[in-house]
Formats: sequence, structure tokens, C-alpha cells
Amino acid sequence: MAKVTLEKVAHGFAETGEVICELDLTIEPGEFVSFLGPSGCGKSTLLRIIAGLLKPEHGRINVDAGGRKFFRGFVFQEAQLLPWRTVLENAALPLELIGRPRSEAREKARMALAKVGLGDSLEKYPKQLSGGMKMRVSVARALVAEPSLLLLDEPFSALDEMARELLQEELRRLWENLGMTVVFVTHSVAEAVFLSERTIVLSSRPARVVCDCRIELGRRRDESTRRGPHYWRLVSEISGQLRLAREGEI
Amino acid sequence: MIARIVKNIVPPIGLLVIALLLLEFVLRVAHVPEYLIPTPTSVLRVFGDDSGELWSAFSETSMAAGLGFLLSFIVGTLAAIALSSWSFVRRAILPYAVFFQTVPVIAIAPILVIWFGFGMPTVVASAFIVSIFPVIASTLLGLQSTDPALIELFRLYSASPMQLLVKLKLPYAMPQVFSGLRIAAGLAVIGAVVGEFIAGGGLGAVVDVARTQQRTDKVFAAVLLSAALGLLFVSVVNALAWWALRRWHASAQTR
Ligand SMILES: Nc1ncnc2c1ncn2[C@@H]1O[C@H](COP(=O)(O)OP(=O)(O)OP(=O)(O)O)[C@@H](O)[C@H]1O
Ligand SMILES: [Mg+2]
Repeated sequence: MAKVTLEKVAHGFAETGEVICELDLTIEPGEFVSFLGPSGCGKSTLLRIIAGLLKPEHGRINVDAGGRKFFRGFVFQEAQLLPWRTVLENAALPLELIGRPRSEAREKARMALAKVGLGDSLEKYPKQLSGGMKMRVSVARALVAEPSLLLLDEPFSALDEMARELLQEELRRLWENLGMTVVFVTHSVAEAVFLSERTIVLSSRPARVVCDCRIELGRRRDESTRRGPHYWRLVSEISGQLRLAREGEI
Repeated sequence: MIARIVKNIVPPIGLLVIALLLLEFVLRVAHVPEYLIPTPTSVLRVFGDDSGELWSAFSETSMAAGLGFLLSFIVGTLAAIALSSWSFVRRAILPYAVFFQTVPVIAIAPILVIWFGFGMPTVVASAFIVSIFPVIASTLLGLQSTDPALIELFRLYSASPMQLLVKLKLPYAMPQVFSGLRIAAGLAVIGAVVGEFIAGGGLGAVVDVARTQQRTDKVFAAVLLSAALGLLFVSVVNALAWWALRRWHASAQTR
């Protein structure tokens, strides 16, 4: 499990100016954190900085898994599968890239796919899959290298309501069982509340932390969690904060 | 399967037969001289009478065009990989490539004869020169259009440039590579026949010699054969493209 520390991180693009402004943040090992914020505020940029895909212009970012070598998993908004590879070959890709033997890669990919409920579609090609199944493959691919840090950028936003709730419950269960730090970016307050231990609301560009809320809904969560009064109170409270974050700009 | 072939093949063949019959009739009734437009039956007779000569010319041209095509596939693909990997090479070379592409082969062919002499090597070089540019252009475009999100995915696992090329960029570019090869296949035949006008041999020489003998029927026969050769080349590439992309790409579905 990885600990993420951001110190005075700031980043901008020539076209848009400053996107992230002096952000200080610590994500504890094994935490499940969600980021909420208005469209275009810099959530994806922040996630790419944490993933090490983008070097921030200012400040320091540190990801530490107790001094050990570790991997990151990333799930994009679209599933981003390689269309010429089967489900199994797609899920095995990260292990191939880090130089593991082919047989081990396939074995681990098979296990990761079983975890997301795709154990019987190994030889299918992405175009034969529904949106929800593609996203499952994408999650399996992110999990296959046993990451200490899992990053997800609006992974379920293109899915229908039913598939979305199902995948949220599965992701939550994976986190409960596997023990990893998860950073999740979303537009949906309900999704953030249901999934995470901590929800951070960001302001419009440049992104600042508007509110940093603990979500105390217990460790085991399932569909009944969504019906509890505590859940609804948190959703409406954080929706209010998000609205304030938007109005600050207008 | 058979029903589909019949459905796709009967209408064009039927149209061809009707058109040829009509042409034969008009040419005979209007007394058009044979050296201007030969009747379809006399062209058909050439196929019978000179079948040995035409066949060996056909195979010679297909050999030269095939070699030229193969060379432009190999050299063109390697060149596109080099151009896409090093942007300074691309910036330095691309303007000249565009300029070079506009020089007509027919103008270069005499120079090729000076370098390679009369015969096959010149013809192969001519086929190569006209067919390499579409290979380079399409492959380069394909290699440069890789989805940035997929490149980030590979970067997440510190993929090497070689892994990036072999496991992502080349397969991603495949549909475009094939569309370049499709154009190149037709051009290779054209380049070979043009080369043969100057350097001799093959269908190009048959056309040239028959023309000086006022054997218009033979000219027509050779021209028809070179068109058929072009069609054959393009069909082979289409079949390969279908086979390579059949499992995953939309273009392979509509056949
Ligand atoms: N590579 C880039 N080059 C230039 N500008 C960029 C780049 N990436 C993002 N931006 C700009 O930075 C701002 C923040 O982008 P970002 O994608 O981080 O927002 P977001 O919060 O993820 O938005 P959304 O909710 O729509 O996904 C946007 O205005 C965007 O146009
Ligand atoms: Mg985004």
C-alpha cells in the first residue's frame, strides 16, 4: 500500500494558464480517496501527476510503498483496450511490459479476470464486449501487476445506471479484499460517497481544496448502504459544497 | 457463400458481355478500321494466337512489379518507422520526399536505364520508385496517430521504445499500412509497364512493339492484360488485409 504526499504542487498549461494551484495533500496507505470538482478544473491533470505521467511545474510529489518497488494501476474514462488483443492478452499486457514470462503473465491475467467476473470470456475480442465488460477488462488489467496504488479517472461515467452501480460495488469489494491505496476521480457525488473513505471537493480552475470530508459508512458496503439515511445526508451535504465550488467561479 | 458470389459476379460479367457484343456490332456496321479500334473478337483472337508471347510477357511484368512492390513495402515501412521515431529526420527529409514524389517516372526512366541498363533491374526500380511513397505516407500517418491514452498506458509500465513500436504503434497502424499497400500495388504495375516502355521486356515492350507494327489488336490485348495484373495485385493485398484485420477491425467486417 502506497502513501502519496503532495507538497505545494502547482501546474499549468500554456493554453489554459494555471490548472492546479499550491496543493498540499497526504493520502494515507490503504485509503480510498475520491476527487470531485467542476468539469475542467484539473482533476485528470492531478491524477496524471500522481500517476507519474506528468511532472508538475512546481512542488514535490512523492509516492512511497514502504521503500519497496511498486506498480501503479490506471483506469481511464474509456476502457482503452487494444482491439487486436483478446481479453486475456489485454489483461496480461502490463506483466508483459515489465518483462514477466508469458506463462506467468497469462496465469495472473486469468486470475485478475476471474476477480472481475470475466473468467469465461478470455478469448473474446474487445469489439465483442459490452461497455461494462470492457471496463471490467480495464480494471483487471490495472490490477494484474498487483499495484500498491490504483488510479481511476471517471471509469464508469459512460455506463448505464445498473452497470455502474454493479461495478462500484465490485470495486469497493476489491479494495476491501486486496488492500491498496485508491484514488478515484468522478463527477458523481453519490459515486464518491458510496465508494470512498474520504472525498475531496476541488474548486473551479485553478483547483484548490474546497472541502475534505471523511465518509463514515463502515468498511463493508453494499447496495443497502445506498438506502441508509446517513448516506443521503452525506450526498446532499457534499452536493452543497460542490455547488459552492462552482458558484465561486461564476 | 456460392449464392453471394453469384449475386456479386453475375451482374458485372453480364454487363461486360452485353457491352462487348454492342461494341462488336457498332464497329462492324460503321466499318471502323481495325488499326483505330479493333473489334472485341479480333482482340480475343490475339489472346489465342499469341498466347505464348503474352503469357511470358505477363509473368515477366508481374515478376518485376511484384519485386518492386515488395521492395517498397520493406524499404517504405522501415523508412516510415525511422521518420516517425526521429522528428529531426522527419523535418529534414519530408520536404524532399514530397518534391521527389512529384517527379514523373517516365522522366526518370531514362536515367534508370543509364544506371541499371536495359531489362529487369530498371523495371523493378521504376515499379519501386512509384509505389514507395504511398507506403511511406500511410504508414507514417498510422504510426503518428496512436491514441495518446494508450501511449500513457505503456509509459505507466516503463515500456521500452521497442515495446512501444512492436506492441502498440505498428499494430495500431495496420489498417493504414494496408490502405497504403493497396494504392502501392496498383502503382507498382503502372511503374513496371512504364519502365518496360523504355527498358524493354514484359507487357510494356509488347505494347511498344505492337504499336510500331500497327497491331492495334495486340496493343489492346496487352493493355487489358496489364489492367488485369493491376487488379490481381490489388486483390491480393485486399485479401491479406482482410486476413490480418478480420478479428478486430471494422473494415474487415463489411466484406
Ligand atoms: N495536455 C494538455 N495541454 C493543454 N491543456 C490541457 C492539457 N490537459 C488538460 N488541459 C487543460 O487543463 C484544464 C484541466 O483539464 P483536466 O482534464 O485536468 O480537467 P478535468 O477536471 O479532468 O475535467 P473533466 O471533468 O472534464 O474531465 C482544462 O482546461 C484543459 O483544457
Ligand atoms: Mg478529466
